[in-house]
Amino acid sequence: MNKVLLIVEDERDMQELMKKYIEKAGLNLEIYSAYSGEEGIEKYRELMEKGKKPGLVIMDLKMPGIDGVETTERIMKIDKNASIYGFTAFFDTDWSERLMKAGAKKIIPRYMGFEGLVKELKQYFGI
Amino acid sequence: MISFLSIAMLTPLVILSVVNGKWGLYKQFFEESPIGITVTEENGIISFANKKFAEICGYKLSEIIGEHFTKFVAEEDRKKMEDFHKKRMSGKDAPSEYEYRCLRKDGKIRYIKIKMIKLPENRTLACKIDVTEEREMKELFERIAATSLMGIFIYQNGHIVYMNKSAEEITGYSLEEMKNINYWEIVAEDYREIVKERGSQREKGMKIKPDVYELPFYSKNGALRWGIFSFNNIMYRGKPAAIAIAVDITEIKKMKKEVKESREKYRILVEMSQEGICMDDEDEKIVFLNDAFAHSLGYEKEELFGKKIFDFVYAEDREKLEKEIKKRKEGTPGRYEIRFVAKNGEVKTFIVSSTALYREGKFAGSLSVNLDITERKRAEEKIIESEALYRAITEHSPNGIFMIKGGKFVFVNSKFLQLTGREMKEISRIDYMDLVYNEDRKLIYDFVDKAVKGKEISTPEFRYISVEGIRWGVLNGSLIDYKGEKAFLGVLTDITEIKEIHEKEKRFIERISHYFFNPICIAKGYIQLAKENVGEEDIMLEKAKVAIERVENVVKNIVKEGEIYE
Repeated sequence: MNKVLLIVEDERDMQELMKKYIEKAGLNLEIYSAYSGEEGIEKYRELMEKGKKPGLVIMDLKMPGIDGVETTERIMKIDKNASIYGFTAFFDTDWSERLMKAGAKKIIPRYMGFEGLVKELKQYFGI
Repeated sequence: MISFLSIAMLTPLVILSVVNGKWGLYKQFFEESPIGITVTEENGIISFANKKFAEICGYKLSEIIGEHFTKFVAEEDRKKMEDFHKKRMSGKDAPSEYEYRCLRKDGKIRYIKIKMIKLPENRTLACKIDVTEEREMKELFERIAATSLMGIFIYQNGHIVYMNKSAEEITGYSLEEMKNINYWEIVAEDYREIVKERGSQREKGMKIKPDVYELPFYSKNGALRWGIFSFNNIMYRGKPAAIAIAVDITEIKKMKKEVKESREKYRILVEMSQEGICMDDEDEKIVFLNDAFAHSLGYEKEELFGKKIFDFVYAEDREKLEKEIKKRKEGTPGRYEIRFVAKNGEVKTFIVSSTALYREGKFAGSLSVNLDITERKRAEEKIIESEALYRAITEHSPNGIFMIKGGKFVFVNSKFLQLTGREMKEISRIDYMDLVYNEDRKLIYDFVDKAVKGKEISTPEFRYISVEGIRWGVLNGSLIDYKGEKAFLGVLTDITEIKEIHEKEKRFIERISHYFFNPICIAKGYIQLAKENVGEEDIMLEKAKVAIERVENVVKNIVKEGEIYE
C-alpha cells in the first residue's frame, strides 16, 4: 500500500493541524492537500497518473462546491478500489450515512480530535 | 209372470182337445187365458181367437174371427210371417218362436212374442204374449246403461254376465274378458274374500247389508282403483243374480288425499312458521292464529282466541290499524308496520302483510302475516347510533380516512379532501395511484398488495400529491368486506409538518456540528501543540484545553442525544 495520504478539507487550519500531528507522530506519510471537492478529484487522478495513488483519502463533508459525498462518488468512479475515510463534524447524520453509501470505509468524528485521527491512520497504514 | 212355460204346459192339452174332439171342453179355458191365443187355418184365416188377443189388437172378437192373420201384423213383418206360415203348411221347418209387431186397430204397434204349435189338419195354434212394456223397459235400461257414467255389473254364478260401457271403462276389461274370470279376482287382495262371500249370498237371493260401500280393485293395466259400489238382488234371465252399480272414485280419493295432505302441509307450515299468522273476523276478533304469533306476544293461543285484535295494539297505533282495516274492507291488501303490546307489557314492532277474506262475496275478516321485527328495529337503532358515532369520529378525525374498491375511492372523509385539496366528485373519478408521488408508487402498490393478501405490513412514509404540492404521509390500513366485496380501508396521516420540523432540527444539529466542532477541534489541536512548545507544565494552556473539551463534550451531547449537559 502506498503511504500516500490525500486530505480533502476546505479549512486551512484543519489541513495544517492534520499535517503537524501526522508529522509529529512520525507516520512518515507523503501528504497531499486539496481544499475543495473538485480539487480533491483532480489531485487523486493526478497522483494516480504519477503512480502515486493515495493509500487513503481523508474526506471532509461540508465544503464549498461539491460536498464530500459527491467527491467520494466521483473518486470511486475513477478508482473503485479507493480507500476513503470521512473526518467530519457531521457524524451520526444522514449526510455521514450517504458518505458511507458513496464508498467511504469509515467515519471519524471530529470530536475525536487529531490524536484520534492519527491513531486511525496508524492502524490503517499498519504503522 | 206369464211365460211360454205355461204355453208349453198347455200344448198337449190343446192337441188332445182338438184330436179327441173335446175342444168344447177346453174352449172356455182358452177364451179366459191371460195369453193371447189364436187358431189359424191352412189358408191363414183365423178360426179362433181369445179375449186376450182381442185386447192386444184392440178389436172385437167378431172383427177377428174369419180374418186373415196378416191383418193384425204390422206391414214390416207381414211378408216374413206369411213365408213362415207357408213353409209350416208345406211341412217345412219354420221358426216356432219369435217376436213380431202387431198392428192394432187404432194403428199403434205392440211387440208380441209368439209361440207356434202345429195342430192336426194343418191348423196352427199361436200363443201370444204382449212384451211391449217389457221391451220398452229393456230398451230404457239399455239406454240408461249405455249413457250412464256409472258402471253397471250383473253377476251370476261368480261371473260377470253383463257390463255397460262405463263398467268396461272403469275396469279396462271387456265383458268377454270378464266372463272368463271370477269377478272377485279383480278386487284388491284384502277385500276378495268378503266380496266373494257377499256376492255368493246375493246370487242366492239373500239380502246382504251393507249394500253400499267403497272397494279397491285392479283395472286391467294393474292400477289400483277405488269405486263406490251399490249392490242389489235381481232376477236375470229367469235366475237370481246380483247387480252392482259403481262409481269410479279413484280421482276423488286421490284429490281427497291430496287435499288432506295439502291441508296437513299448510297446517304444518303455519304451525312451523316463524312468522305470526293471524286471522280475524269482520268484528276484528281473532278466529285463528299460530303459536309463533301467540308466543311473540307472550301468550298461548287459547288466551287470544275470540279476543279483539285492538286489545293488543299499542295505543298510538290504533288509529293506524283502523285505517288499515278500512282498506281491507275496501278490498285493498296492505303491508304496514305496527306495534303490539305483549303480555309482559313490552311494546313489540311487527311488519304486517294483510289481505281481506270474503265469505259469499262479503267481507269476512283479514288474514295477516306478522313478522316480529322488534330486535331488528333495536339493532337498526344501534346501527344508526353506531353509524352516527363513527361518522362523527370519521368527520372529526385529524387523519384522512378513505376506502378504495376496484382502484377507486368509494369513501373519503372531509380531512382527506382537505389534505388532498380536492372535492369529492373529483376524488371519486380518479385512480388512487394518481394521488401518489411517482417515485413512491411502487412502495404504496406493495403496501396495498400485501394488505390485500392479508400479509403483515409496516406503514410506509410516502409522498402524496396535494393540489398545493407534494406532501408527506404515513399510511395505515387493512382489507375489509364492503357490500359483499373486498375493499381497502386506509388512514392517511399527514406528516409533512413533522418532517419539516425534523429536517429543521437535523439541519440545526448539522450546523451545530459544523460551527462548533471544527473550531473546537482546531483550538484543541493548536493548544495541544502550544503546550508541547512551551512545556507541559503550562497550567493556563491546560485549563484552556480542559475548558474547550468541556464545551466539546456539551456539543457532542447535543448532537448525539439532543440533550444539553456536560
